[in-house]
Amino acid sequence: MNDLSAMMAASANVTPLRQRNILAVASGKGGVGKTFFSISLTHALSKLGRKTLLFDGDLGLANVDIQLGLMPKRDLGQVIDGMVTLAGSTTRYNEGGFDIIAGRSGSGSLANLPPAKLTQLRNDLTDLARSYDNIVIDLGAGVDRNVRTFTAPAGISLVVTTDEPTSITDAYAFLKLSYQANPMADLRIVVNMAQTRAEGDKTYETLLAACRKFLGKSPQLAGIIRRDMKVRESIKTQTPLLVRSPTSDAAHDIMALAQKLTAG
Amino acid sequence: MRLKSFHAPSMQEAMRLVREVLGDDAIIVATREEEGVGVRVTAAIEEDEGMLATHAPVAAPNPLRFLEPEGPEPIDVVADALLRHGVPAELNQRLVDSLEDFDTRDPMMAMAAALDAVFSFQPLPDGKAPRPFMLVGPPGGGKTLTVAKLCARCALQKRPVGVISTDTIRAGGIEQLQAFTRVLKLRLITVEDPTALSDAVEVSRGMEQVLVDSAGRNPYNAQDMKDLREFVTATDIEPVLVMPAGLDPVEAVEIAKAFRAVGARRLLATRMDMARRYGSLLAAAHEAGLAFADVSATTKVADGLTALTPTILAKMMMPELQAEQRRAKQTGTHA
Repeated sequence: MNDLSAMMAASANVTPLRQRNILAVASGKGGVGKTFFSISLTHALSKLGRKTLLFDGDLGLANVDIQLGLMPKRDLGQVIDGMVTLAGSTTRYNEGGFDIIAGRSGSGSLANLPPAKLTQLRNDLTDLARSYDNIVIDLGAGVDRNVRTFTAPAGISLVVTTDEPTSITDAYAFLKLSYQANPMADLRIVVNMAQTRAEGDKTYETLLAACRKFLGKSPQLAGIIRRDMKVRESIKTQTPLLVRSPTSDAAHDIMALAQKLTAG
Repeated sequence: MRLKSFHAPSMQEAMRLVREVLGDDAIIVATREEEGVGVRVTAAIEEDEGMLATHAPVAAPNPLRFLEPEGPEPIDVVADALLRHGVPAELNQRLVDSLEDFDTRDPMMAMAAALDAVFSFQPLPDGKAPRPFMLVGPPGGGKTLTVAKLCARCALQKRPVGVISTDTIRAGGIEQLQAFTRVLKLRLITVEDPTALSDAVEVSRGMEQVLVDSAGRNPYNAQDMKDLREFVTATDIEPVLVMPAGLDPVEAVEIAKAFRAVGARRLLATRMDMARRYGSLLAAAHEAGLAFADVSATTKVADGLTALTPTILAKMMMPELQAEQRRAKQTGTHA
């Protein structure tokens, strides 16, 4: 098995797996605020002076642009069709000071991309990472092929969970499969919608206990984001939280998380 | 993993409930005091099949293959290689799609399987051939050298072989082939028109193989192709397209289609050693419906030709992997 990796390393032009500056945002379960978190994290990183790109990797149900109220001229659909390069498909989001690559909203047409296209997309994205300080990939929910493909190049995977047992269980499933695939994976947990910091800690401890006991792994805590009505408002009004309510609890927590992430 | 919370008046009672419901293997992942009610204990138990069953798509993936264990999936390695070779997107897709149900950890085998599924392989016979072969193609593709190689192959096996050339216009065309036939002690028959070709083929009956070298033709020139067609139809003969590697894929497809139109059904690829991207050959064979015959990867006449199989082509397309696997074999490790 290990020879395969050696083989891959030796095989020319194979894009190196895993770049430290690529952050994949994952969640086993849907509805835990993954896209909101991806957007806010990208925004926070750009506020910290980093050149950042947000890639909508939820190929089946892309919605990053919707949440930002953007009408991108170009999206991944055109990249897949070979009309534009991946680098040429970025849309500048001036208000947030970062770039995005939008999916094809509301069509689901990219959900079943063939492997060759997926691989190409992943390699192009890894190449594109050289032009940015950070790339944030908003993954789809679950653990399907698309999710696996875009998790592969990420240096760090941030697994978003809430305190709901279903969410914890699904986050655990993602962690387990990721560790099985790559025991050295850098996986970190984000607790979203926590009642309080202490409650968030408890959620993390619950997940950590299961990982330690069943997997022998201790994923670290990336951060806790407190439940905040301002988040719902920002999503409804299609205005990013860090623009609309920069002093809110959730905004504060996300900035802190981004700072911790860039500190190493 | 299954997660379950238990409410009880005391910790002891809660633990008893946990064991009763989840058994001795359960672990406590969280406990909390509940104001005036007692305690809430959250316990977890790991049951592999259950979890995978709930998360797996219809075709349950082997969890060990999740997230590309120690490097990409074989299918991705194949897709990568095809991209590197400049295989047009549609054909790339077709090749990768053919691996849908193919289960192997070896990218080389996957590549060979994909090539086998999409292409046909019909190397030129080593021994007796039912019809003469006429090597056709654009100028400078290596027809004459290929004829020499085929002659040498027969001569080395002491098989009687007939050599004919229609390449009488090009300066030095005949002389080039003659240099080889002289060494091989073969008589080279030169013909200038289709009737003469028909006669020459007739004279060569009884030979195990008859090889005809032809003048390079411009596939975009109607008169050129018409002339060639007259040679091909003058007698019962199989035209074989000789095309070098390294052309532009779109160009290669058009060239292949033009020679397919005058009867070529096989593609013999030359200059494999002078190119690193074989996308044009794959595209040409696929689009024009040609079978892969042999390939030539050297200018040395005696080293001749390699009969192409899916495995050999796969190895030629992934030389680094091939070298790596060979080393692994020598050191006795297995990928």
